[in-house]
Amino acid sequence: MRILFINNHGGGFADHIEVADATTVAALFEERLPDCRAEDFLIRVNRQPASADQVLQPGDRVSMTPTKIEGAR
Amino acid sequence: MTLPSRLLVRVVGRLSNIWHSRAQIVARDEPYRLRHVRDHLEALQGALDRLDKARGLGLELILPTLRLEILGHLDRSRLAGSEAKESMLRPGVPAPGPGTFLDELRQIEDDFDDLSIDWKSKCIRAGTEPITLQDIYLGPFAIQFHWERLLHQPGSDCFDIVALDPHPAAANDRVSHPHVKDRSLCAGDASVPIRKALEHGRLADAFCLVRSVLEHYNPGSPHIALDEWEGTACHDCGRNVSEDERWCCEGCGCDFCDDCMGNCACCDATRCHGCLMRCDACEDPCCARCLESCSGSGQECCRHCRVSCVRCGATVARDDRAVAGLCPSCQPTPTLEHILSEKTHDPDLEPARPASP
Repeated sequence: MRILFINNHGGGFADHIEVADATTVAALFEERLPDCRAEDFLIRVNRQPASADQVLQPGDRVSMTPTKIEGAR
Repeated sequence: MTLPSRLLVRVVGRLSNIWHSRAQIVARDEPYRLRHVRDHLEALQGALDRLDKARGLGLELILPTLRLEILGHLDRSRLAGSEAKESMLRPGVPAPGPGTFLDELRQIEDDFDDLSIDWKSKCIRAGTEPITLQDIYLGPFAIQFHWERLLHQPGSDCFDIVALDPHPAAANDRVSHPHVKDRSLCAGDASVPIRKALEHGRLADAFCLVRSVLEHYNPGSPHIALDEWEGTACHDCGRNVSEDERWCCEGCGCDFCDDCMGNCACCDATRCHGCLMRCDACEDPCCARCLESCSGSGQECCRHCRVSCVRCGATVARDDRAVAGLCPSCQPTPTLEHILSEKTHDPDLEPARPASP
């Protein structure tokens, strides 16, 4: 199935991607951001806070935004 | 606070127009990204030249600062390169529709304490919770998105960060946060995501990213480090002093307040009290370079108080040199007649004369 995935980490891109049916939020996070910790991210599905075991639906809008980002001077 | 519907519709209209204008500008003016890369590379080259020059001159103390500067330029060059590459590989982003902005504003309303529109300043404002980093209270901040700046360049420069309960650094009151100076956020790792979010009209994500920078501290690259936020402690008395009031002792390299610094009486060099010693002869404070041990007496004397024996050349304190410029060692050994003669003429040994009639 196809979802809109918004990754606000690193390059900060938004794109439509293919994911397997019955993919959960936790599984998508693990697949897309394997070196990151979920607790350091604000994860939303269709603009609403999402639980780790929430199953994604076709056309969902999933955004992952880091809550700890290093600024500079 | 929820924005009234009429106001919401008016803002959505304004944002749609701005993004539409932006899309037209991008279509005409994409090469600016490549210029951005060139600017960063030129800045990097300048920093590399300074590093080479400092190494050539043996200026060891400045090297760590220059290395940090180069690291910053490398990071910025890398980010600029990544943006330029992406812009060359991808077509321009179409302007989002009004519905997107309506959703974005509602999400900001949900995510932040308060959302307001300042028509005079042409900005959307949302407030953070009070922020404390490493036990330093910085207070709440207003994140202000100035929509017209988007026409020039989408990115963190579109935002002003205003301290609502300012607790700026003691050394510089223009720095209200380790990563905010003069209301301008240095977004660091968030620069690209903020730019991308704004390009796509994801305003709520941009606000969240700005907040994520404000709520986190990067000790590697702050305007002013949090452990120096309250000022630099005087190495002697411990008083916190700002950058303008801070003195660095050239002798020990430590920082001091004005009261704990002095000057060498000989060369006028600035030193802390611990690096100034008294001349054994005149007792004026002097730096270590201007004091020298007298070979004759072993006293530590300044150059004003040191003289050389005209016979053996030994340095002695001016007071120790006897008649004819000779040090005590070179003075002739007095004979018995001389001693007796001196005693005869010593007024203390002469009998008191009877008072005149």
